[in-house]
Amino acid sequence: MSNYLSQSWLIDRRHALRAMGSFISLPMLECMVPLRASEKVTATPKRSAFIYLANGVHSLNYQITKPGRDYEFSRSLKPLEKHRDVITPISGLHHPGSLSHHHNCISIFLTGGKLGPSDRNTISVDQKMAEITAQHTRIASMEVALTQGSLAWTADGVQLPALRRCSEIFASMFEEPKGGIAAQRRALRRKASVLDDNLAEVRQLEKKMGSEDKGRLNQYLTSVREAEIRTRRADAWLDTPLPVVSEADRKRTNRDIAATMAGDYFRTVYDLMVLAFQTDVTRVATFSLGGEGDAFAIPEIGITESRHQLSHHGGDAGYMEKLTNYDTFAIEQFSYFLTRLAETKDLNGKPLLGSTMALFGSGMSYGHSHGNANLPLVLAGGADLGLKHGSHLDFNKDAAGFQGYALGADGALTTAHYQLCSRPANTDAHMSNLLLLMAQRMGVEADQFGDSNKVVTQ
Amino acid sequence: MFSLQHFSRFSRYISLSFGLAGAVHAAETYDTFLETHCIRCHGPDKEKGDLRIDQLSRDFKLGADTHHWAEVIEQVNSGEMPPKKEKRPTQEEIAAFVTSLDARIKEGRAARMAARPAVAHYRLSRKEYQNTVYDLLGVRYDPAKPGELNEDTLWHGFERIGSELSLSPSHVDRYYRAAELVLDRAFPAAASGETRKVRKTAAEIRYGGGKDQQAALDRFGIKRPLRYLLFPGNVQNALSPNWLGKTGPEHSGLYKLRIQASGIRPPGGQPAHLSIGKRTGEETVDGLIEFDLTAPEDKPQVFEFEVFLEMPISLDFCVVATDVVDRRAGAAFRNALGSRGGYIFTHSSETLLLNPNAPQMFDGQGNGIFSTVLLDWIEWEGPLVSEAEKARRNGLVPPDDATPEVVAENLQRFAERAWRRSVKKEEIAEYLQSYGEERAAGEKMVDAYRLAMQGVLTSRHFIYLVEGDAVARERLTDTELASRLSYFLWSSMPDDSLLTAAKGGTLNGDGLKKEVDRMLTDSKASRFIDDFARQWLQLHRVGMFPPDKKLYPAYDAWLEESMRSEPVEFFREMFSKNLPIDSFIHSDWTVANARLCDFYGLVEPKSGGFQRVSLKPEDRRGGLLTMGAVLGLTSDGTRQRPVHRGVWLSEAILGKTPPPPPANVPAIEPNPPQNPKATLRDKIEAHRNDANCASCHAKLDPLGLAWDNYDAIGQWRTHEKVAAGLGADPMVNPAGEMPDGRPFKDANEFKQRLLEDRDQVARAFIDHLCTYALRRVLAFDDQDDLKAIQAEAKKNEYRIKDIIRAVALSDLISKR
Repeated sequence: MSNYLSQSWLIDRRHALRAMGSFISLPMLECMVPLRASEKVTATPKRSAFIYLANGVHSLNYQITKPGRDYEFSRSLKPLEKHRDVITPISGLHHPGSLSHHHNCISIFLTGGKLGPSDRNTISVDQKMAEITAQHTRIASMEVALTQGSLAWTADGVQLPALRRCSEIFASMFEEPKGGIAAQRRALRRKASVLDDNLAEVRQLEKKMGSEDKGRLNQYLTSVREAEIRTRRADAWLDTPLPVVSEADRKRTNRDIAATMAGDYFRTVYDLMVLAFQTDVTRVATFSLGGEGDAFAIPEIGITESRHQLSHHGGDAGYMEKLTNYDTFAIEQFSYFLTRLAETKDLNGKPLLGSTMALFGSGMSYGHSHGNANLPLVLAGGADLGLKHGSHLDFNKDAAGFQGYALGADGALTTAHYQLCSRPANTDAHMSNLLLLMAQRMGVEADQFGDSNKVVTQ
Repeated sequence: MFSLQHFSRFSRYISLSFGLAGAVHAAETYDTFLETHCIRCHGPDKEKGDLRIDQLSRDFKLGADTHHWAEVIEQVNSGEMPPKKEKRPTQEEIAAFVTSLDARIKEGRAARMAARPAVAHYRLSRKEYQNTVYDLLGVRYDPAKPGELNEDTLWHGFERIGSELSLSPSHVDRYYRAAELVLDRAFPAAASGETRKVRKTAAEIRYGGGKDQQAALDRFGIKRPLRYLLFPGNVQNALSPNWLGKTGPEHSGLYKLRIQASGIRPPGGQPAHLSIGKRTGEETVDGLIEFDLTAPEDKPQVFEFEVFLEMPISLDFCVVATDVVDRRAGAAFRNALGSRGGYIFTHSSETLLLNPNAPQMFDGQGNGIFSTVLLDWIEWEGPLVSEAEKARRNGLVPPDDATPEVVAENLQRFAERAWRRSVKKEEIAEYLQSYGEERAAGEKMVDAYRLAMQGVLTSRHFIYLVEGDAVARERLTDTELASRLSYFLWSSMPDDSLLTAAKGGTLNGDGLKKEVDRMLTDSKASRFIDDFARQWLQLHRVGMFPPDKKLYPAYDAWLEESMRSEPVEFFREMFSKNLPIDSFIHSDWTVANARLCDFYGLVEPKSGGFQRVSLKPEDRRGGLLTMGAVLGLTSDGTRQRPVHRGVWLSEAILGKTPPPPPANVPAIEPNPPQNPKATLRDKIEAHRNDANCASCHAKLDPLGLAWDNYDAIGQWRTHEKVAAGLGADPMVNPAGEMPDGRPFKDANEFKQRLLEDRDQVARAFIDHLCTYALRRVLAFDDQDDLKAIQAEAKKNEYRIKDIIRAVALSDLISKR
């Protein structure tokens, strides 16, 4: 019976009539497809996670200086050593659009867009991926940011709102509908009806205007339309029981953690991401450990300063040490995420790590002077999607004029290295090329993303 | 006269120096440069890099080749082009080239951003949405709460530029939810909570009734009543949901808080500051209510506030001070003070007697050691709904037995107010149809009708200001003008009288003057003061990079909040007294509270809150530019940033946006420990040895370096603190030259130079006001109208209220 109800969306008279209207360029067909038909689950679900660490790193203790397969781990990357076979540290990439744009780099980390005063941001790669994965999952994508904004941007350059609290993230995925299915369905239908009326009303104007420049009108139309499609999708999902979450998982993740417990907080968000992938609630997730201005202090390892503050170390040895410890700590938690992905199996019984690409990094490399080149990046997982790992992928090394890393007599990097972090050695090595690679592996049909100029080959 | 030529390089749109002939730019400076240095390799003869500069589109308004032009600037600016082996252009040539090409690009961009389609949609900002639902339905709704409406995209601080405020599906979802919530509050399903009142004494909240403690007092023969000592470094319960009895969402609304308390201020320390809000950590709350307590121990004061609360809610007290009784100083100390039975407080003179073994909060002379608050009682009353608020929603929902005609009329009336114009029957046909379907499906009148109202509130006519018709026209209709004026001066919808004037055709000539004067004196004009000052001065940047606690121990949350308010309160004073614009640049007064006076080293006001205080030359303050907020927002939490200060000043005060820096700027390295200490200025100047950098920075940097005597949180200093390096901290050197060469030796002289440029400062202020009022970027086509406003405003010494009035009455404001 309930199944019948949900199918009734497809033959609803008013909707069908309006769907025939010629004014909408959205892929209407998609929401006209019965739910079961779209359940031809792809053999290997493809997933992606993106993790952002603000303010760059202490590059002198982070940079790996040897390219290729027999690279040695730097001090702050050490916690990833056990994952050597499933990760690729990457050096020398940058976003041309963020050079000299300081802390705004976070806005285009996943978009490869531009930051000029009248530039509008472009779609972020996770949202590009969600366009094709959304039809399979209860929620299209998951956006988490512990402070400030999310990493995700729509095609119109609008930043998606972020979730922060673990209980809130948990609820967004596993909470029973309020007031039961019937009440929820009534609410969704009322909503669809209202949105429908809004659309019909604007269509009258649209007709009158003919081929005139419609400005904001088109954006309004597509947004309302898309919201309506989502409302219907939510309705269809009402009949699919919520995934079962074990009591242990629920206890561990459905709680709120104080900002002063950064480690627990980071790990619990990672747990929630694992849970989301494991139950196939979504296949795309972004996680900002904190914004450029006020990423957490980590009292548990003696860091009482905000990350931004540490990054402007002004050459202070104590600050540089703390910054290194912070980097190492954050990378340790990322390593925990990879471990959890490796030991957890998805609905098909295969380890998540094989079907999940995880990108960890920052839009800055040298925080003290806002260097936005030579970005610290680590790509991991996704072997089932064709990613190969085990090497340090170094785009600096083949750049014309690159003289090798600035090493002192003791073999350690010297401050001359900072120049590399501010001015790209290889101006063709765009980070968008890497994002394009990931998009393609997710099944996005595109040969261009952001300001990509070629796809990264591993 | 300030030379516009020198500043045209920073022009946001083409400035007047290019001549009023306007669009025709014969023999452009940039073309001469291209001819000399570029075309030979990027032209008909050779096509290096597949680039033919001679063929790039010169129609900047169309903007077809903008990215190529930006790249050209980038290449020249960064010194990549012309190539090393070619003849080098001079610094002056580069500057002139970049200036003229950048001005052309910006002019084109502004024209594109200012372009209006036949029907233009300007989305309401969050604040405007909030005000509008209040004025429409008397409902309080906070769109800035997490999970509510998305943040507005800023354009140079402005929250309401139409071309920036876009819409995504997530916005649509949130508008839908917001409308649902607003209607829930306007028409609650269950009868909304009755107004209730509760008073808690110190004995009740601190001592669980205080029986034992009272017995102790009696033993000592102490007559004074029990008090609650609140100290910094801990949060304490200020409201529990059960205090008022059973409390649910239906009890949300406006609450009145009354509190009797006094403050202890340690010698040389800060006045006691109390913050009440939701707990955000062990020693912090989000400040819903903030106030200083200057009333002495023996003369407590009753404070009264009104605040909107979403029930059920728990609130906490938090004493904010830089010197706190924190964990690091010893948890035992704090625990002893917090212990319920153990620590008893009545009066500073009796603490040693009552608590011989507890940590002492007062010295032998009875002076406080920490800033503390002594609470006598607290009282909450609510939810309060005024008759005026109720009146706004009376008669909106038709009676249960209403005929379809009556329902249609009701909805039409509602839509006319919500959409701020006349509404035809057919425009609401869809909503009525949905209502009918709901009724047919057996829904109750109120539920079915709410669906229709919801549709009206999620319609584009509500969430956007819609201007224009299918057939393009140049001027606003009277009702469109009414909305533009009310969103300009009230940040909200027109009231009945304004709308009636518009519909009656009297919104012109004297009728318009009458309405504008009425609007300027209405209390809703304070929304304009808050919103415009915040956006114009980019106050959202205050505290964006929290200052380093180690470097700036004097900084705390309350200081930051006070700093953010100072320019707004200053603006309010200028507005209400209609003062000339000069005071923005320099004044012998400011508007400050006790915390700011303490920070600036001024004589502190006797009572709490913001008030006008006078300044002497040795205070080294006055005007906007030496305020903590301005000096702090242009810093990064660890050090001042002269270039940012220069850019801010150029944008906010002079109305010019400098060209963007090239991408390849080399890193500034920290001062090496083995080198002598150097100021930031020395390092920036080393940067400027590069001809390409110098071409812009030579003019820009002095505007920021002039304020080097003020550190990253705005404290006065004579020497710059340098973390590492040899020798003493170096002296600050704030001297420099204006872009046209007039010298100044410090910030004071700089202000004098700016006052000589009064006309330009006023013009920039007018431009900002118009950008705000028109919700768009200004373009070349607006120049004549802007000049007319300036001429009008100049008649009376550029007095602030007169300027705003001139804008509201201008021809420009009634144009699309």
